[in-house]
Amino acid sequence: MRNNMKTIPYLVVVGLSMAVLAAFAYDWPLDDGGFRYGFGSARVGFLKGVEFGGADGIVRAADDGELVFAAIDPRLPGGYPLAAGSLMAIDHASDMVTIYAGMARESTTAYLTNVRKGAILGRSMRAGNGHGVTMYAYDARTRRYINPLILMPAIRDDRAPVIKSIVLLADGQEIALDQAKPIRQGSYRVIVDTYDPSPAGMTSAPFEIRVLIDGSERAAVAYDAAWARDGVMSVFGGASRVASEYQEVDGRVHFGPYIFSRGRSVMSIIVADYAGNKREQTYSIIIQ
Amino acid sequence: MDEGKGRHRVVAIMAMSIFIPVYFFVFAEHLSPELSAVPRWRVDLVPGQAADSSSAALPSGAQSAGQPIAFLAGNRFGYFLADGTVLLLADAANGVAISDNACVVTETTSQDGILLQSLGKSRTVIHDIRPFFGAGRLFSASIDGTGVSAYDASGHFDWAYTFPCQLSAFAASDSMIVGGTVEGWLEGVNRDGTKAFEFAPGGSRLPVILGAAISPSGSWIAAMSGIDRQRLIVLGRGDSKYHVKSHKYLESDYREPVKLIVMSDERHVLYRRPDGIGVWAVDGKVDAVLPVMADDFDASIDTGLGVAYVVARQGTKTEMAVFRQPASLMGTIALPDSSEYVRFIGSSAYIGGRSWLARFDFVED
Repeated sequence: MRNNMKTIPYLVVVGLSMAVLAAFAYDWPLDDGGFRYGFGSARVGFLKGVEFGGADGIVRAADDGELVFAAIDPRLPGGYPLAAGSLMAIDHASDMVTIYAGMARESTTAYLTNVRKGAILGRSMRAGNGHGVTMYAYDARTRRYINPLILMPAIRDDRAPVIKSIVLLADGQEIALDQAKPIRQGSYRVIVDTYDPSPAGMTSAPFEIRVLIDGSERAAVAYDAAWARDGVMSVFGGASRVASEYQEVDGRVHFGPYIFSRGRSVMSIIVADYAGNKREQTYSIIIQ
Repeated sequence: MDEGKGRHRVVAIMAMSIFIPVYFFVFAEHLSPELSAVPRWRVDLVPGQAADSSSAALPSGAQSAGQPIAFLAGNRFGYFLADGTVLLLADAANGVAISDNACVVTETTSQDGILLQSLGKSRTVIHDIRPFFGAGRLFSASIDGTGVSAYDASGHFDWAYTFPCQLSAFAASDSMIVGGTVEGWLEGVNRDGTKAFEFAPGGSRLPVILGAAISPSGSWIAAMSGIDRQRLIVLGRGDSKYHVKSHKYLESDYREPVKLIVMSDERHVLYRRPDGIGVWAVDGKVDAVLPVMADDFDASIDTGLGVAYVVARQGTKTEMAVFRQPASLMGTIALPDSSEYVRFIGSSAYIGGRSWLARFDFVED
């Protein structure tokens, strides 16, 4: 509940910031039909941007800005490999930086310094590791990644998120709630396997997940921001969760732990995407 | 700088080589009145001899014949000894990271890597790795370019560290790594994975870290930062913290990765500049230019002869330069375009491409 109370003011602040940024009206760098994975998707870790698919697409600057960095060699001078193959960063007004990773090396237009909105930056490709071009929106003032969905034009979306499973975890043992078996009283973590179908048909992340137990909201996370401090990555402006503790490699997400006392409890998981489509799943749990 | 130049006047600059065997074994030339490059050996690396990387194992008896030296040219890699004995030659189908002690070949069908220990037949599978070596230590890059994972010598995961933004510069020493980010911050990470320091150079209209270097001891960190105007900054360690020891505004306007080196004498920083390789003392008392054009370079100090070597790459051209510190150029040698590998050890230079490897030694006349 407390986390949720923090979330609301943060969202208000983000919303106000975005209203200001809306004056700059960012555009998607690629056709939004190629939108494969959104902010928070499990892509060998919590995705801090938006990944597009398809080869030979034209990648365009999201807004007016100035090129600050372009790397096309496979490694930085200290040996650090650029897994995406290329990296380009454009500084915009209001301390926003958009970062583009994974464009075809030979296609990048690094000679540009002042970049106009819609200017061609390069060509998309599908990397050998299956990853496509990824765009990140970074707020250098707060030193946080912002979910690009908040900044970019709305994407037509009438498909609700999917909840694949909800399980309770205690002592390393998982109990699927759809089995309708009684559980022992005690402390349980709630693991939710959910996704939102992206325009390209992939299992993208939703925008919001809420956990209600017996009518009381016990957790609410909004996929709005991600940041790293002291080497540790955290997510969600209001709830502030350590990314590696929240999301498993396979994309399942953790909540709790919650105490379940003898009797009966009703647990609801509500998942929403950025367009407002919702999916709710409710279980009645018998606790022995 | 001028004093050194006067004392050790450069007499001859090595002729451009045309063909590497002819060059090394017929036309050995003088670099300066007191220094010559003498060819020692040359071996052909026959592609047919290359073993498949997935079955490559390094000979356990190599140590008795001397310390193996890592070799990498394109996707061809291996180990050889100072006498020219090739211990291992293999082609990596996907990618390889190599040091003198170990190498990691990555699988084509997954992101897994196989760690091959250089002095034994040990093979360790490391899952989900984008490997690279820094100061002999094995690291992995995160797929989004913001993170580093460290592994011990046996390939066991040690720690992971996430930087606030995508890395635009990276440097490693035995005791620390330094990451520079696209948003213009430097962050140091101790050997145990804890944060050592963070620092934003600032002073420019647009913040960005374009290059970073760290001295072998970890006492000095150099960085090139910012756009309009660009800055060279040297941080020195004192009282366990890092402070700015010297800095200089630059005329350059790079917007790409820039090479910097803190020399092993821990006194000078070499950095890329439009008119050559800049030489800057960590205390700011030397500000000179080595007239060798380079987009990328490596450097080494030969304490035996009291000189330093630079291998400079610009486009497809590679040349080697000998100089007395701080910046008295003694001579240069143009290397064949096929020179993908150059390594200095003491007074010896090992040069190679995908199909050949050669050694020559610098000697005093």
